[in-house]
Amino acid sequence: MNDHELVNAFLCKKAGAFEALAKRWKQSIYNFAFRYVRDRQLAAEVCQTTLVRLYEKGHSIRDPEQFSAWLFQIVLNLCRDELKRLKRRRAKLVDMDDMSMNSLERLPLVDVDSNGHPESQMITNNYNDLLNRALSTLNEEQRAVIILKSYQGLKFREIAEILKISENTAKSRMYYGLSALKKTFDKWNISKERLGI
Amino acid sequence: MKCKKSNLELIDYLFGEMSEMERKAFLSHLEQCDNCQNASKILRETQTLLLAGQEETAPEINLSVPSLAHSRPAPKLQRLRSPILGFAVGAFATFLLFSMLNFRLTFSENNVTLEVSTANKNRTTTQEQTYITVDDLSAWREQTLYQVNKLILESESRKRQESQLMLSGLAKGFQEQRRLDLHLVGEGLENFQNSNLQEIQRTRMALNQIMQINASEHYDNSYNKQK
Repeated sequence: MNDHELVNAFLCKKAGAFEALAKRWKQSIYNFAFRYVRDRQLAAEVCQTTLVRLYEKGHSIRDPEQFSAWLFQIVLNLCRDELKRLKRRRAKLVDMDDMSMNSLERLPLVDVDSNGHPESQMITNNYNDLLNRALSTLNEEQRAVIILKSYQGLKFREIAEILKISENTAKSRMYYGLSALKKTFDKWNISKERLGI
Repeated sequence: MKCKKSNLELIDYLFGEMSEMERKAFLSHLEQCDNCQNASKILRETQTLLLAGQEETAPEINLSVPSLAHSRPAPKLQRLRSPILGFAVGAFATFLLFSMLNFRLTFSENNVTLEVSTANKNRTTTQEQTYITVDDLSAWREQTLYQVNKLILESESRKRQESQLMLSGLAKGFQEQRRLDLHLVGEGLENFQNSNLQEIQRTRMALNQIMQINASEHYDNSYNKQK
C-alpha cells in the first residue's frame, strides 16, 4: 500500500490504518524534529505529540495529497514552540552551566583544537552531531527549508505551502542556506576528502 | 564577471525541479559559464556533506490506538452514551437547580436547619419567622445595650468611689499633717512666750537693781552734802 492509499484508508477510518501510517512517518517526523531542535528528548516529544494530533485531527484533511504538508506543518509548529520554550527557560537560567543544557546555539558550537578547527577525531566519530551543529548556525527559516528539502525530499511547492511562503522564497532560502553551510564547513575544515566520501 | 543567471535556476537544476527543456537550456549555459559551474560544484558538495550524516533511529513510541485515545481528553458529557442515563442526570440537575433556588436556612439554638424544596410554598412562614427573628434580634440588641450601659455605669461609679476614697484619704492625711504642724507651732509659741517672760523678769530684776543702786548713790550724795 503506497502513501496515498494509506492516507485514504486512514481518512476512511479503516482499522489499522492509523498504526500503519504512524509507523511509516514516525522516522521522518523524528528526523525532522531532531535536525530542527537538536535534542533527542524534545524530538521524541514532538514526534509523540504530532502522532497524537494526527490521530485526533487527521480526519479533517480533505485532500490526501496535502497529507505530508499538513503533517510537517504540525511538526514545524511544535518544534518552534519547543525552541521558544527552551529559549525562555535558558534566559531564566543564564547562570547555569551552559554545557549542561542540551540546547541550540550555545557557544562554542564545536570543540576546536589549537588551530581553531574541530578536532579531527570528532569529525570522524560524531559527524552527525557536528552536522546538526552546523545546521544550528543557520537561522530557523533557512534551516527549515534545508531540512525539508535535503532530508525529507519535499518539493519546493510543498515546502512553500508548509512555511506559507512563495516557492521562490523557499528556493532563495535554500541557496543562501547552503552557501552559509559551505562557509561553516570550510571554517571547520570539513570536506568530502576528509570524510572519505 | 558575475553571471546573470538566477540563483533560483541553479537550485532548480540541482534539485531536479526543472522541465526537460529548461534543464537542457541550463546545461548548455553551464558548459560555458565558469561562475555557475563553480557555484554548482559548491552547492552540490555541500548537499553531499549534508547527506553524509546518518539518520538517528526514532525511539519507540507507543502507537496503540487505545493509548492515544486515552490521552485525548474527551468532553465529560460525551461519555454519557446512554440517553436514559443522560436524561436522568439532566432531570436531577434541574431538580437540584430549582431546589437551590427555593432553599430555606433556619437557625435555632445550637441548631442549623437547611430545607430544600422545588416550590416556595412556605414563603409566608419563612417571612413570619424572619419577622420573629428580627424582633428577637432587636430585643436581644436592646438587652445587650442595657447590659452594656449597666456595665459602663457600674464601672464609672466604681471609678468614682475609688477616686473619692483616694481623695478622702489624701484629705485625712493633709488634716493630720496640718494638726501636727499646728501642734508644733503652738509648742513653739509657748516656748517663745515662756522665754520672753523669763527675759522680761530678768530685765525687770536688773532694772530694779539698777534703780536701787541709783537710789543708794543719791542717798549717799545727799548725805554727804548735808554733812
